[in-house]
Amino acid sequence: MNKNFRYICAALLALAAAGCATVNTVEPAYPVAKVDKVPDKRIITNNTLNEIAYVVEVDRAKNAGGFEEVQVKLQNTKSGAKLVNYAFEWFDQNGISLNRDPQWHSLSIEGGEIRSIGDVAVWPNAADWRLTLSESVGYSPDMQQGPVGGGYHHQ
Amino acid sequence: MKKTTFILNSLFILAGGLGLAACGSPQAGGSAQYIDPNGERAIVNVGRINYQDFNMAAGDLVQDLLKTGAIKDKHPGGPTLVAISRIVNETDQQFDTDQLISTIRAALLQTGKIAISNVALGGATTDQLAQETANKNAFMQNTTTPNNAPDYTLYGKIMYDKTSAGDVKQSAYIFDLQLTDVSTQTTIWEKPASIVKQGKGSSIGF
Repeated sequence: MNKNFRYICAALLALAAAGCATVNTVEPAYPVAKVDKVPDKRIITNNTLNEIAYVVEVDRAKNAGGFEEVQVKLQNTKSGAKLVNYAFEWFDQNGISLNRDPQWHSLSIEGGEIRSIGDVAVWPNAADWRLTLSESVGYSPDMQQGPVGGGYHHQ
Repeated sequence: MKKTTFILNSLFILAGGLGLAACGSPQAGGSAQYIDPNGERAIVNVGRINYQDFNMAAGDLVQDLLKTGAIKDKHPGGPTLVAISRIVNETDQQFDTDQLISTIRAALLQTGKIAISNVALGGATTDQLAQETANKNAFMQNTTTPNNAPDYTLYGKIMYDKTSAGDVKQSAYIFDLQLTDVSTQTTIWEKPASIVKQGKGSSIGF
């Protein structure tokens, strides 16, 4: 009985270890890029999601094509790889939505990793934007039992 | 004691059920319902391209095309003309490649800086009525039809790769798009957008 219990514990520990993969990163101590950081307002209804896709920074710029662009840096503060979904909605000067059914995307983030997501406003009158994040309901890369259904992976 | 345990268990089951219901999880096998076409509740098949894959790939491609500023303003005061060349389907599935192109066309038009040429491969036109009307108007006014030669052409290819490990399948679809400057006959932009799906079967949502 005791022996079996030890085997089960060892197996569970091994599975837990397999699910904990974090990343190490290196970047310049004094970055040359001058980013236009945007103060943001956050509405958090899911604390777990806020931990697996924590918004570190929001930047905006006019890109080479002359279009408004927004970039959001997300960090997975957990120790295992996670999948999140996100969509950007754009608004004009009057606050009217320019894409009422925004396209959802899937993003895989390793434990501790910071990933940049972004969107380019194809509308010349785009003024504001909103980012919506949600937990993936499909396959998660660190599922211990393996994927059950289909799901999007790294893009 | 047994009664208390039974009540507690019942409460736990009830709370769990309520929790699941509150999460608004998709109802696989339930009654038919409308879903957001670009949302995250669509069916995902590992072995085939889904509707949302075209939209995701097209969105990524347009974003990159506009971001790089590859399409220059060729006619100050007027839109730059882009024509859609051939989109080659090299996958094992049959589908209308317009599923990819229509989203790209719409996004480019929304910029207000780009117009899509109706000129198609072989000098054909995508809108026969428009061409006939233009020809008729030109004939009646004794003029020539306006020159609608494109400034740029878009050529694309859809490729795929399938693999598996045990009973887990993976399929990768690569939507590759190239922009050619007609005046120089050179490719000035190219972007492969990859959609990779992995799993044992189909699922609802991603």
